[in-house]
Amino acid sequence: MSAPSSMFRILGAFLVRDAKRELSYPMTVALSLFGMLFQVALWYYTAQFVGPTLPAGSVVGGDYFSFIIFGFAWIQYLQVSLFSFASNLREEQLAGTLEMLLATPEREERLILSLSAWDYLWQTFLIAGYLVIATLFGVRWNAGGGWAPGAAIFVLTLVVYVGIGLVAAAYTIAFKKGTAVAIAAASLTTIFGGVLFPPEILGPRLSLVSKIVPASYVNHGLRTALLAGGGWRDVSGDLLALVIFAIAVFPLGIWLFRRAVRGARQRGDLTGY
Amino acid sequence: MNRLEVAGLKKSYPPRRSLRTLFGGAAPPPRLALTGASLHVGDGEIVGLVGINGAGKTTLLKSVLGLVQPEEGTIHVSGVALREGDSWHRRQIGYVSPVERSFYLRLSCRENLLFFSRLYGGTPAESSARVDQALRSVHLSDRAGDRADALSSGMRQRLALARALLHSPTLVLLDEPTRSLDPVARGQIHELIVAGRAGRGVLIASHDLAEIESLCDRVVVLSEGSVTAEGNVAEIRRQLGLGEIYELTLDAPAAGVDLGPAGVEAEGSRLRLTIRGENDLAEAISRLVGAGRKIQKIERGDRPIEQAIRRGAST
Repeated sequence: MSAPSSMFRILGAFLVRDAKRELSYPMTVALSLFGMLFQVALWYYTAQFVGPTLPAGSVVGGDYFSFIIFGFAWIQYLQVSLFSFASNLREEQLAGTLEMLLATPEREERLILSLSAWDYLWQTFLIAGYLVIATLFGVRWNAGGGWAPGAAIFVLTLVVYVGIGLVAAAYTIAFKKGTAVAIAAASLTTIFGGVLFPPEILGPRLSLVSKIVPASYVNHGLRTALLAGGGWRDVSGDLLALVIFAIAVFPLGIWLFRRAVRGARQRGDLTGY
Repeated sequence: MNRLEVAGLKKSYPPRRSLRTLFGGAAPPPRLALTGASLHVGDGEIVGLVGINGAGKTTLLKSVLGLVQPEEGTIHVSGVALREGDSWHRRQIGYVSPVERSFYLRLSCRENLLFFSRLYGGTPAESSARVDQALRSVHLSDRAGDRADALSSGMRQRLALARALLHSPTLVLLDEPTRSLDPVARGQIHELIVAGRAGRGVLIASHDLAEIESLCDRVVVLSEGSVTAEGNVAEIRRQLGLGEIYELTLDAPAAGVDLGPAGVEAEGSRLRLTIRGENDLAEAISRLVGAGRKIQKIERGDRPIEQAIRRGAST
């Protein structure tokens, strides 16, 4: 069986498994959907309070409610990447199933990537629901010719964030408890990634930090494309930065992950926690 | 062909990194887990792996699975040598973990097996047929739709065996397959192991020596990471000069009574006989009765394998 078809087979097996597990907790599913409604309501009223105080043109798209809704939509993917690989690994370790997964002939990195596939899919579903609810609350979409560049940025976002997730998974395998580092990375991204406010308000020095945070380009690019109708030229800088991040972070994630697995095999604690 | 050949396997675990060592303190020495272990499992053969806790049994099994990287030695599965990082050979291996909760408890038995069958390369149609067959073979067809958390320990262990045999492996590794099972469930697992031996080698690590003696064609005794005795029970007895131990309680001390070739340790009216010859026990009893002693109780002492394990541990 070829590598891509083998990868799809494994992804399919994990998606079916995790969909069944997720749906076996119907209350959790219902509450996740309700949670979207409350989150949108929270940003709506925050924007009612903060929005009028902002000078005109200070946020991309011109409307603070749309700005913040977008910021929190895409940061969810980063949260999945930072926490999902590590927490799924740990859950499998605690459940005693990790050893059984690693006893199958599949390569470790494929298994680990597949472990979080459902979280990405489920998060995509929740974000779609979140954006639909936000649209009902009044998000001003203005995509125009920005759909195609927006889609390209979205795909690059996933590649970069999956790479970051592999780094997080490598950390968990090597040091066992990666939550603190993930929380720190998520907090830094929220501050410097243009989630709640444009990075420019941090001042000339601190806003330089945002240049090395991928979320800055994700947020700016997607807002420009989908809220301001920006075309390829308008988001070319964001696209270029995300391509560079993708080329650097994804292979780095794979390399670090393989090294972490190798080290764990030598220490004999691959399935330990 | 041997289904598994392990030769000269050495593995030590590095000490845990601590703040003390980070700041220049002396690191403790690495912990030796395997110190040159060698064994083989032939086709259709059931081999028992015994030893005290920490003797290296689990490290050896994990090395074969590729979950632990040995420093020295070779491992061949069905004649093919393993290299570092290999995973192909796991297609040849079925594994039963000592962890009872090794299933997704919110999924049914069938869903659990279907998932693992897909990871072993089965197409949906193949997997479905394999799972039905595997569930039938462990007598769980009627529980196929039940969630794994609704199964008893014995049923879960049968399900684990079904998972290990799903992809028709040529080598099955069982790590304490009957731990915490009642005698009936244990008997069922034993029957399934024996029924599933054809065309494959089976290696069982267990502390249940009665199980090892009754199931296994050969036993490998592991002590401090290396093999100290190997063979069937009679061969191990011969290799180590061991006998069957019987403890007798008499109505009066047996001082002065010649009990023949049996080795004797006496403590008041209690005797500990070491029997090596076929008729030694009958001879000793006959002499005791002849000397007017009444035997109030006969108990079996340590089995030969238990003696071999103890001997290895005390060296």
